[in-house]
Amino acid sequence: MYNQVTIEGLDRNTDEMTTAELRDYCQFMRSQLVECQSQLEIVLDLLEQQTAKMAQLYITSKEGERQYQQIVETSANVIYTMDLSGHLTYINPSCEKLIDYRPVDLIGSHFSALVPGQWQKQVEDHFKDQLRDYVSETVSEMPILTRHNEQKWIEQTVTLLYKDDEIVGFHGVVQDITDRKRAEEAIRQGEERLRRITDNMLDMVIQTDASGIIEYASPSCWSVLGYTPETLLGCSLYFWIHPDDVERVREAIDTVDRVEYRCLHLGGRYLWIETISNLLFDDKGHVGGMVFASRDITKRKQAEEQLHQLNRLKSDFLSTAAHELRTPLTSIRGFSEILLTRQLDETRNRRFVNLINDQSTQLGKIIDDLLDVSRLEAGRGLKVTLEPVDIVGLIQDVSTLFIESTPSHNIQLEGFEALPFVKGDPFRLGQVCKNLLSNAIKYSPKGGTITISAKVLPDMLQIAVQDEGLGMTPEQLSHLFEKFYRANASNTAISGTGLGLAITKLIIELHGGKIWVESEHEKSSTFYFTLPLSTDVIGVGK
Amino acid sequence: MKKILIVDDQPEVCELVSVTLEIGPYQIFTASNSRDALRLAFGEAPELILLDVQLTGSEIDGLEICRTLKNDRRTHRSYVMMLTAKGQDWDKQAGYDCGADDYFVKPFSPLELMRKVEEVLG
Repeated sequence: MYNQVTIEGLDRNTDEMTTAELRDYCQFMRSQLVECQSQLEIVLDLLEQQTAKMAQLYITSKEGERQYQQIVETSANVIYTMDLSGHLTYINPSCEKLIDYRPVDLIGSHFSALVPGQWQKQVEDHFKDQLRDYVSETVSEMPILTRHNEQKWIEQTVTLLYKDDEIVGFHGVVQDITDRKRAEEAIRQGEERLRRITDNMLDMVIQTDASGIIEYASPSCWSVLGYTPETLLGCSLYFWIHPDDVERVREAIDTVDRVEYRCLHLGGRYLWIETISNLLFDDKGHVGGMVFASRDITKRKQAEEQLHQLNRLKSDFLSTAAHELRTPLTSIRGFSEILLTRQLDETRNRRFVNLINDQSTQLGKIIDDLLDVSRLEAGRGLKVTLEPVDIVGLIQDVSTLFIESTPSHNIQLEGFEALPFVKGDPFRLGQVCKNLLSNAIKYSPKGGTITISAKVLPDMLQIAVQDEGLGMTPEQLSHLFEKFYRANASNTAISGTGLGLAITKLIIELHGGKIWVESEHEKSSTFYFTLPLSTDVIGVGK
Repeated sequence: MKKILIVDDQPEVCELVSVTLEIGPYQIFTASNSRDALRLAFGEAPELILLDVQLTGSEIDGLEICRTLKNDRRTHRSYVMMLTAKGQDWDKQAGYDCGADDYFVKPFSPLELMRKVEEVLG
């Protein structure tokens, strides 16, 4: 940087110079000196500047250290240094807030004093690994104990501490994450509890995304509908819903309403399901998904249906019964009013009083029969007191009664010499025989023959009652055992409540037997019924 | 004389209605089944028809007879009064739906029926 001062002719001895030459020489030297001096001044100037800068730097660094120290001391985070043996060499005062120790309590002590027993090995390994692998910075979470032995959670960022290119320890910045950990734990426990509930409940729980694609299905989907939860994931919510019910379910989901609908069981049958739906909202308030709680209500539906049917039957029965009761009442009320308000001749007077009398009797019969029917119907499965019944004696007794009161018809018994006893209720069986015999007489012309015959079948006795009557049309046959049906109602010669055969059928069925009819129109009808043989008493015929 | 047709499968009811109305200036016809009822209705074109609903043993019931009568030019002017033991609201509605002009429920008071008939036939 300096100009080279070349002194020409320096090798020459000045003694040998001429005066003129010396003068020139001196002059030259002087100029050289001036040049040197100015250059020296520049150097000095630079040096001075450098020194000032160095001095400033020194001052600044001192200040920085102090400031750094201050920041560390007042930091909300706990900051510490630790030597390689695990002893704390420094810790800031924030430790008091975190674990209730003062720095002076901790400096010099081993970190493991602050770590719960079951975590010590893990924490120690963490430091060792960082050291071994020269990892400059690690972030980890761990529990820590306070002076009062309470557990807190910290997250610490640990860097390696160097001095003169050599690792001398660790430097850590610690953050208290106890609240966050507790919140996380609460959430975890909540989820765990929820999972335990949904996993063990009988109702099905399904969660879908906003479009209805299944994201979670509880194990009960298997026990209720036969599908394992895994097979349902990714399926549409609607895939198992009866096509006719899909629209209704969609509507219910839109309005967040309860809905009952049919679902296809894996086995191919439909079950009735009741579902409550709920919408799940994301952070922005959009529908992010849906949750459904569903249960099998098939049994309830069936019971409802049965009840409904029963109610319908009951109301049908009541309205029919009312109609049947009103019919004789019409004559009674009407003719009595006529009698009260009109002057009639003696013949008509008598006739109307007779009509009233007949219709009152009829009304009484209908009421008796109605009570019988309702008792018998209500008593399905209820006891008829079954005992060994001598059917031969019973039929003979009933026949004798009719033979005496109705001499216009012939009643014949066939095959009644010796028969086994049947299992039955003598009173009810008497009712059956009377009903069938009176029907046969009612629908047979005078002089006709009614034949009662018996046949022993395996375990059963079959009785047949045959008339020589009008016979029946297929239409009449199909309604014969219905309540209030009368084959020829417009023929007043044939009276009846229309309940006799219905009652007869109920009684026979209560005995475990069957009743049916065979008929040839305009010729004859034969009623058959069977009764179980009594095992207790073996009749003579067997 | 105004003509009245009584249709009921129960002979006692036919007799009762006949007796009730016989003191008026009416010519009375009775039928116990749908065939006789339609034959008499078309043949006589009665001013008033008293019609039971349940006609056991008939091809069609009283409601169907009513519909037939109201759809036939020979009888559509006849006043049809249902006279039946079917007394529920929906029974009555069914009667009016078939074109019946009035509905009378059994059991009934003959005096009231007489008054009603006088009112209808003037």
